Amino acid sequence: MHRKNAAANMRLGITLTLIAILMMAVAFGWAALYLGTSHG
Amino acid sequence: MAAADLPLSRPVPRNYQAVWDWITTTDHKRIGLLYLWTTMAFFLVGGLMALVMRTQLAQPNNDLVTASQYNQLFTMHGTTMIFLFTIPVWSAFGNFMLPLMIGAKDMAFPRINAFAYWLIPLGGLVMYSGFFFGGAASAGWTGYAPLADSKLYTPQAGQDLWILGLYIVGIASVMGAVNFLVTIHQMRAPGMTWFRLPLFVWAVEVTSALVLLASPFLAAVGAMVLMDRQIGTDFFNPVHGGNVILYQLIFWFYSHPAVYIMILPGFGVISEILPVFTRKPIFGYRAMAMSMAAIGVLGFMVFGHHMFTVGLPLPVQIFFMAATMVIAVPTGIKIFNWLGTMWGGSIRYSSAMLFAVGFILMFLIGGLDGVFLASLGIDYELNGTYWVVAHIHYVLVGGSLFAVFAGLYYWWPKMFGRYLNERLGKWHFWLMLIGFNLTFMPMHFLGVMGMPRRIATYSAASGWGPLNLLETIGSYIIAIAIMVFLYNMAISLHGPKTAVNDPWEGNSLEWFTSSPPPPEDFNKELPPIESNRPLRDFRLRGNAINPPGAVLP
Amino acid sequence: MAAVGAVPVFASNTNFLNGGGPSTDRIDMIFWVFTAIALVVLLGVGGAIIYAAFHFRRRSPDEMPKQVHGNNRIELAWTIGPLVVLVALFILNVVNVGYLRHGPSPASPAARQEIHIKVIGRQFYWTFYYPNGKYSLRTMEIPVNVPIEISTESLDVIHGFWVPQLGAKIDALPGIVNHAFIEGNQLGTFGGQCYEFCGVGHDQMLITVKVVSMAQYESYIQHLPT
Repeated sequence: MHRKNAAANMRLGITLTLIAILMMAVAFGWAALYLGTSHG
Repeated sequence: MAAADLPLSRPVPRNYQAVWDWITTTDHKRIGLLYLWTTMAFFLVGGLMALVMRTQLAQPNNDLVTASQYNQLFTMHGTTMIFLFTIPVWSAFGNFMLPLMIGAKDMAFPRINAFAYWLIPLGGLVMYSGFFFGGAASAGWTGYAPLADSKLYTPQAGQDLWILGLYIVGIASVMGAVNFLVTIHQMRAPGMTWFRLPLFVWAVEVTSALVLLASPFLAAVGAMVLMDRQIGTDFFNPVHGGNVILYQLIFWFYSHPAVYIMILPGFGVISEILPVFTRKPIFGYRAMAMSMAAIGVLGFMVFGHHMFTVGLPLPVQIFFMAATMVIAVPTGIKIFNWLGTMWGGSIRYSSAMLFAVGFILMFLIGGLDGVFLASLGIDYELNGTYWVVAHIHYVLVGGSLFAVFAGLYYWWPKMFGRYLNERLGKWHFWLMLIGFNLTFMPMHFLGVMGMPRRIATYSAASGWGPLNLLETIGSYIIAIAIMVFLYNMAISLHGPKTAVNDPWEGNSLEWFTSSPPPPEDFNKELPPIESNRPLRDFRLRGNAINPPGAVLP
Repeated sequence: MAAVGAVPVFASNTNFLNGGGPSTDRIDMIFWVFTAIALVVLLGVGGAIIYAAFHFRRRSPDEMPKQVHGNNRIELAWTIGPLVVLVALFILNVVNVGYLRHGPSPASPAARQEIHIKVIGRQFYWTFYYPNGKYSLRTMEIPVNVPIEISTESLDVIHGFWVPQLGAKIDALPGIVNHAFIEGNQLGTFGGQCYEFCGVGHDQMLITVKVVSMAQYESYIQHLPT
């Protein structure tokens, strides 16, 4: 595998993983907002 | 490493080296097979649980199992079938076939691939260990708060181990998704443009995007429940400012896309099989690709339909009803396009094709009974009843499982260098079709008759006995069908490796190479890729793919 | 006696298609419309698939059919067609859903008659509190032809209150009060049970609702414990 391709793969892989982690943070943010604005 | 890595095409040395090779392999083909055996084993365990449940329900006031045991059974049955079978089984086909289909030599990250696989049996074992620690999880695969959220109601360690196990499996899932996405985006052979990709690859692409974006929400809600249970937070405890509805919102935000994660690769498999066995191109290739993407996007907007009786504001309920009905449109397009592929074709009924046609019919039924549930007025009666159980099994068994069988019969020669017996395949199909419908069609009626889900028993006076007995008989027929298949697998794997490269007149590149492929996947230069049926183009130009005089199944 | 799981006479008084009130009349109508359309689609599309499965079987080993890649007209038709049908079904629901959830509108004469009953769910039985402050367990009596506003709540986990022949189901949540509407327009006994999984006694949480005359209802609630 060319070194250039491997580096591009790593960059994309890390970006996607960061997106996944971001989604988890969004979930916690959603919980904070929902519980913060009085619901029931 | 390469030369000694030929899978299954030399006598296995009777030493520990062979076992060690399998444990440490990073070859996508072997990892695919590891996924296959593991998910199949979990499928059988989950299936046995179903048989016990069906036996318990065969008669009113039955006491084969206690209510507590029953609750663990249906919880672990659902969890196993969803997280340890239907979601990861597509990684078996995906890992083995995807690099071959796009002309790559392996996945983008072979070592992460191996690591992610091993998390599946680990996560499964963690979840099942609950049975040995005072009881497995028992709050349903949906684990609603407060029942699953407080040790007051589910004190057993198994409930916490269940969350941990799901975490482990979820991480595996996300790693796999990253791997598939990078592989598809970066490692296609020259000429393999987006609209020349096999539809199975499109399916894996959309599915992986869903896994990546949705699974973290399950991870988050699992963490919140674990914290509520163990360290006294109150995300979902109403006594101290928590909210039980919040659990369902976050849970279903993942779990609805999860059902598309479970079916989309199946759609891809059917779209591979129909063109091969009808000798026609897929009807509406672009519509098929775009409809999968549309289903993926819309799949994030319908999750509220699991919560129609929770007490959400009416405008919110109406929005989710609308979105759920809209998603029926791209789904319907797929069914119509499959019909369009069959229409005017030259159909050959291999076992794979039988299961593919069965899939379309069963999924049509599951889709239609789902539209009933999308309708608020009707869902106000049918939510939480056996109608829902009917719907989910029509789409997940009649749909996903049939597609898994179709894929197995189709790709078996490529994976193992042998054929599955076609006569036994037909027995498997018909027993499965009859047993499956006998088990799940009556559940529609039971739902209308008022039978709720997740009850360990019911009274004779309810009138639900006779249909339940019929369903139990159906479930035993399914068990016989599975045994036929297991037998077929066993005798096939003991036979000689005589399968040719292209037994079915395939359209895609995996059929170009040997069955099974060499370690480096392709040891000849790939044919030019100028359409979405490159192998067919190559064959029609007069090139022979199989040796002369080859005996085809 | 209270400890034994109650087994009332269900005998198909839990089938919403049997009717029992104005709510279920509307629900039944919606259900039959959906069933009719679903059967047409199933027989039409399913029939076409089965027909194609038989009619287009391979006739000879070298048979090569016409390579059809698509058809814009047909594809547009089977995109727009289902959408139109779904919009109609959507509207059918929207015009009924307010009534199914809330009962008669506040301005109407029927609403002035409304009786409010509080429903409390707990593991593993239901308690019903009447306007006079008295309560009954597991069995409820309501007067015929009077809209009943139900409020539900749970003392522990989520339960589901449901009497199929009298009205839409509604969850009973801890910490949140929900509202629903049931009404019986026939005298009789109707069954139901908890539909939201709540633990080991989930299958025992039965509900019996007796629809009786107004006089009988008033006498009944007067003689209940407080």
